[in-house]
Amino acid sequence: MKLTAYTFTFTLQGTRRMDELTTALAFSFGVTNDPNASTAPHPRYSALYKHRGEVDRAQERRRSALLQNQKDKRFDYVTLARRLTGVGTEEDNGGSEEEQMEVEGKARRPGKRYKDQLMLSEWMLEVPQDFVSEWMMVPCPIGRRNLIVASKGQTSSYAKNGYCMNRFASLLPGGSKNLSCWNKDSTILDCVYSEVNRTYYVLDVMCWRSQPVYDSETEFRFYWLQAKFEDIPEILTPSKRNAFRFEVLPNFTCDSDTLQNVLASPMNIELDGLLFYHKRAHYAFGTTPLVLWLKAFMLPEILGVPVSAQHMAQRPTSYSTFSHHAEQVRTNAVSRKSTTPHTRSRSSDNIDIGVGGGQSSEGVAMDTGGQKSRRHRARWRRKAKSGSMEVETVENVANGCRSDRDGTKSDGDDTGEIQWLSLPPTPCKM
Amino acid sequence: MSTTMTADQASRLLDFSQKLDINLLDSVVGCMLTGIGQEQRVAQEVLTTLKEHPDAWTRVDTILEFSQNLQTKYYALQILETVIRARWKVLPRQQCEGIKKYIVGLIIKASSQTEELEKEKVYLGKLNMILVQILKYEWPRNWPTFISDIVGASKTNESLCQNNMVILKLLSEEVFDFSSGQMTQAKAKHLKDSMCSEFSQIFTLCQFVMENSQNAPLVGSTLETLLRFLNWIPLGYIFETKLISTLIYKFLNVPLFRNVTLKCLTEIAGVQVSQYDEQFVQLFTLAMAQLKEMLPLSTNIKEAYKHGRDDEQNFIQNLSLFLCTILKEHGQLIEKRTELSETLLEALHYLIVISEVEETEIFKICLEYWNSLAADLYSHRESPFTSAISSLLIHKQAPNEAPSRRQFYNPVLSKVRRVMISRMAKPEEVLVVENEQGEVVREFLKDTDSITLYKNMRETLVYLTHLDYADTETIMTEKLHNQVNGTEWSWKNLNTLCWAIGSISGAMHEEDEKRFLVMVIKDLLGLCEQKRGKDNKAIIASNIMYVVGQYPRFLRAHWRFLKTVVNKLFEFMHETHDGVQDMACDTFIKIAQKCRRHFVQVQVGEVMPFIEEILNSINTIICDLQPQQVHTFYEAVGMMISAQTDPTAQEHLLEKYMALPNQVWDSIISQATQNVQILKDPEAVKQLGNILKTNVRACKALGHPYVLQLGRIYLDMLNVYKVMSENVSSAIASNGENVTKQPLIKSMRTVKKETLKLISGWVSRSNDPQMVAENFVPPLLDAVLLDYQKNVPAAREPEVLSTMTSIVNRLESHIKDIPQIFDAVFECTLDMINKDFQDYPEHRTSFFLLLQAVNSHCFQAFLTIPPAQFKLVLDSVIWAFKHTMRNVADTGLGILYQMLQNVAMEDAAAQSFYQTYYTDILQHLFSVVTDSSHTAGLTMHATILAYMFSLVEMNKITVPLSATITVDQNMPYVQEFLANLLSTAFPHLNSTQIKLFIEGLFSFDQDISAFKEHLRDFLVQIREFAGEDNSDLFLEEKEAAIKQAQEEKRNLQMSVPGILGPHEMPEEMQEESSLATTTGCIGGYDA
Repeated sequence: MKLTAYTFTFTLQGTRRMDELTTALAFSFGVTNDPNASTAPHPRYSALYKHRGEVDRAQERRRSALLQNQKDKRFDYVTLARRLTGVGTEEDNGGSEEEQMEVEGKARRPGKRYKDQLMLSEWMLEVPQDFVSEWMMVPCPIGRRNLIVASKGQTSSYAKNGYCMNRFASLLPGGSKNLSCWNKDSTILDCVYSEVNRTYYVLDVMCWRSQPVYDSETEFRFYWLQAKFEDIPEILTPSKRNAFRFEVLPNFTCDSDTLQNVLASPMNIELDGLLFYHKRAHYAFGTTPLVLWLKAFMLPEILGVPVSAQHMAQRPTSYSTFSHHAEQVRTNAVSRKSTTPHTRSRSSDNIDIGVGGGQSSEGVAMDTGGQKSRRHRARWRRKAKSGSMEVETVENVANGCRSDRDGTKSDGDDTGEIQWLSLPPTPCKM
Repeated sequence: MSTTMTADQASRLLDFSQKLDINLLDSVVGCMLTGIGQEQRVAQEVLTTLKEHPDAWTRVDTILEFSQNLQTKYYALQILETVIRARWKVLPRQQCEGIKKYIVGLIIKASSQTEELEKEKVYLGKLNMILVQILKYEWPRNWPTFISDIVGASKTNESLCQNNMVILKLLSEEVFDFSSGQMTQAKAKHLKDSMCSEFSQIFTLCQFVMENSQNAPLVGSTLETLLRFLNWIPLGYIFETKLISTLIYKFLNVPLFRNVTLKCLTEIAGVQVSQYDEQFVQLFTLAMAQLKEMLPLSTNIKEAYKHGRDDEQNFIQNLSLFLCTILKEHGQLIEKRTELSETLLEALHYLIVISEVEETEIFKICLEYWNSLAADLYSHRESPFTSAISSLLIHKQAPNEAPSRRQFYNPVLSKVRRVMISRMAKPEEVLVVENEQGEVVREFLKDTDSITLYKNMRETLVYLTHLDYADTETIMTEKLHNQVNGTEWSWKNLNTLCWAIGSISGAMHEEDEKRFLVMVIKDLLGLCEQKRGKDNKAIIASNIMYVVGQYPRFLRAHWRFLKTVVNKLFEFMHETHDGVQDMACDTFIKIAQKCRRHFVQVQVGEVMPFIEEILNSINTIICDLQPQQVHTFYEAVGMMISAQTDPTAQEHLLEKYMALPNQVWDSIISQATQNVQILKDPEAVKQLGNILKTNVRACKALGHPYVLQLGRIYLDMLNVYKVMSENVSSAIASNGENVTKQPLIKSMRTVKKETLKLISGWVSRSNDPQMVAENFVPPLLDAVLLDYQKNVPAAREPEVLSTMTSIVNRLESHIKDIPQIFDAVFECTLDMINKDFQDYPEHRTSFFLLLQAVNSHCFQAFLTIPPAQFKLVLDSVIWAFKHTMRNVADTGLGILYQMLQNVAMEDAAAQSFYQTYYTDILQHLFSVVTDSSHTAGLTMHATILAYMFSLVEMNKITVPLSATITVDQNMPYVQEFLANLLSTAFPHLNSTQIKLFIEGLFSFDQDISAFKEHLRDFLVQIREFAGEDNSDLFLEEKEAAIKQAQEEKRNLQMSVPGILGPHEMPEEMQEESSLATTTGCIGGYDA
């Protein structure tokens, strides 16, 4: 009997060690440690996500530091554009790729050659405080992210890692030898390539007709992009002189009505997710909190914007609601108890009690959680100044998301907002 | 002078009626060596012509005597050597004697003075070699006293003696080491016997020198010579004389001689006999005692080697060889002597410190020993250490005594573990190359030195881990901590350690392995967090993923961990740092292969199999990968899907899996149905090629079930193939072959090639030949065959041939379209490759492989084609084995052998086949057998010839082979045919030689290796002019051997009742056997 109990505890210890290892592998292991990079799963949507017990304000902090910083620190974008397009001097401005980890707010340098030249998004962990007034949304199609460089009469597309995917002729300034000034003009774009439609969807512009716009604000760049493309409507059809279609993606304001409408109306692209650009942001290199990313199915939960069932179907299957997720975390925690100080007695009875305790605490937690999040959501809605929103829909989703967090996290009130994101350590009542 | 030399002047050298102008010759030689252009070419030509002149040798003495130029003298010696090798037997006897005496005189003259000996070393070396060539003809028959002559002469003068040692060494090498293929077997045997029987004189001489001489160069040469002798001299000379102790006491510690002495000792240590145990033990103890004085045990050999001179480095290498050899061959013997255990440990200590030397070749020597030691200890790990005593007292002592042998080795093994872990080799090698379509691709190399080394080290470390896994774990843990705390941190050290950790996967118990791995991965993750810089992090990340990928058992047991690993890999597929994406894809496919089932099952805590999740987000996962990486990814996912055994579920997965490529494919196809011009659009063609490549990888992973996807695109794909082919063909027709270098044409050909690759890949993996033959083959043949035939040669894809080969190999008799295939591809391909032996190498190889496939699987088809076409087939086969491209020639011989056997099964066809082709085939075979560029195929030549001769001999040929003879004359007819053939081709051979050779061919036809040796002897003979004197050929011995073989063959046949017909049996035997039968019957009654 004793031996059995011991073996059991031993196995549990092993399980706990495996859990720790799995969590370490999932969260603290990487080559480029960009926080919240959208190439990894959304932290909340990972079954392994564990809460620090506090609201993560880091994203917001980094954002304001960056905005401050971009005014002071400027690169020589003319030289950068020349280097990429090969028009002009062959000066190496890339510098060494310094590590900039965890230095909040410090702007990155562009990568060497064609590598790491694109501005990449972070997951939206929390709704930015200036979301409605200062942000723009661009629906992003499924495809490969490419850097397009048109210069010297040829257009090249590069993958994020600088690999040249293709070379062809296009009607972009400098992009084909049929154009006048083909040897002087150059263009640099940020695109998503859809293989099925053989179309480059243009997200952003960094340089047009040899004129760099890296250090212009998003609002201007988007306007510029739209205006310039209106001058060359033929670029929308493939031809001998223009091997692929180039289509500029539309952008929208971030009030919930607009978002809901956009998502409800038919699109001519296969939607991958939504990109949110800060209006005052310059074009930066690498992952930045000034561009945020959400998948459509995350909208109800994070922004409180309802979406169609079709979008909701895209949810990862391992994730149904946040409450379910929380329960999973707790179930895993059961095994952990055997090694917490209370239960070192190596008795299987203790473990049984532990499980019961966990379950009962959950029920208590549910209600208060619902209230808190409602309060937060209301605050956001006030800012958004769009009073009429189907609370029910939001509630339905949000309700489940908070489960038991408030059971122990009573000091969450102090921070006042969006603490519903965090989950407290599972309570163990002995 | 040389600058003004003209061809006219130079050719005066060729006029043998004039006296030789030595000055002119000197200047011509000088001109050939230092001149340039036209002048040099003329000189070269004149000298070659002169050398080939049959009387050139008559001028050698004049040249050697009067020429002032050393190069001219070498030239003269070359002339002499050529004449000796080829024409010695046809030179008049007195000339032979003359040359012999002359050379001996020159050698004595040049070697008598120590100064001369040094100065003319190279010249003398050449003379020595010529003397040995002469000896091979003259000794012992015409020069029976050679050994006593040379031994006697050696006593007159030390420098002469020194050179004589060199001559003896050369002779030993020629006779014992290099005789194969250079001398006939009988002759080699004769020379070996002569040398052994007269060896005592040589040995006495060596002994005398070793004991008495103070002349270092002389002693050096003697030891070198002795070294050559050691592998053949009678063992008594080694073990029943003072040789071993002389070597050790007198020479081992002399720096000048220690290397050659150690080599001699190694040679002795390698002898495997049991009656000299005491001497081996003595060899070991004496050598160790001496070594300890020369090289104290505390020496840091790794450093000493690093800074040592060549001679010292060689010493370390020779020492490792000696110790490994003696311990490997006689270690058991030494182990049993308990009084030697101290010495044994010291020897092992030497080996351990030598194993640390940073020189791969030396390490390989040590590794071989460690491997055999570890394997031996592992295989005896349960059985007790058996000595005479312990077996007597087995009941009392067995449990305690059992591990004593291991206990003895334990401390040593621990050090060996440390060496293996610190030096683990690289487990895989990737080569980045550009393929013919201009794409940069990565290739995994299979057989490189480094990989072989890894395999051996891995095996050793696995044995060592089985012997004591806790120790392995302790060492690895310690070294890992040294990475973390920085004392041993470096990329190289980390890689090495992780390769070592990865290498022992499966060697521990599962629970221990788990505990160990959790610790390892945790430490590595900590290290990754601790280190700054993407380069550092990328290296650590690769190592973590390498280790994880090596332990599929661990992954399979921990689903959540496995899933997290895979998700992390997906994350890395977006990482832009160099090499990380490649690492992620490579690890992903490795894991997919080993854990595939786990991805298609619903795991605990999940709602659906993980494969579904992967397929749902496949777009986002692969969006930053390069095309080649995408293909790898698809292959990996395909492997997972192949693990789904339920057909419906698999079909569903397959559909989702191929959805993305199919979407692109469909859109292009639907555009093409509107306007076929889209298939000339470079981007569309590129996309098609890419999609087909994805399909090829999917098919590779899925095997037969891929049929669902193939069926979906099959007909469209064949149509695309036709259009592409027409485009390519018309482009070549209008713009010439250069157009194939254009990117668009290249991508069109890629589409064609990938289509064929896909089909042949699937067919060879399919499991329903009937279905494939009925549904898939006919449309393929329609699309591909006619197109191949009418295309210009440059636009024909060799893959058409290889696809047909796969089909024939897989479908065998189910395929009925052989005549159709042959009509389309045979003549037009043959026409491309029958002009020379090089053009269209891929078509060439594929063509013959197709012939081989049809020959082995659809031979019946050959019987139905018209005779003219069959002749073409046979001619192609003959053409194949005349290639010097090794693979083609081998294929050709393979086909021929198989074809002969196939023909023999069809009696009616067989006889007319023999009648028409038998002698033809023989003739062509002999033309390759006697061609020195085909020696690699000798075994196969021998096999086929032996088979053909046995056909005649066994009367399997029942029709006359010639119109002028009767059936029973077939054998003499063949013999005569060959005799004519050979004597025409090699007029310098005499008729006895040829007759004996042909008789031998029949006698040895049941014993391939003897047959081969017989052929080899003949090849030696055709290089020499035989002359009238046959004694040197040992023809009698040969004849006796042939007779004996014939006799044995007959006995063997007689021992199997029925093999010999009743008319072949001797009368007495018939009676005896009938008597026996009768007796048997009577006996039967009795019982």
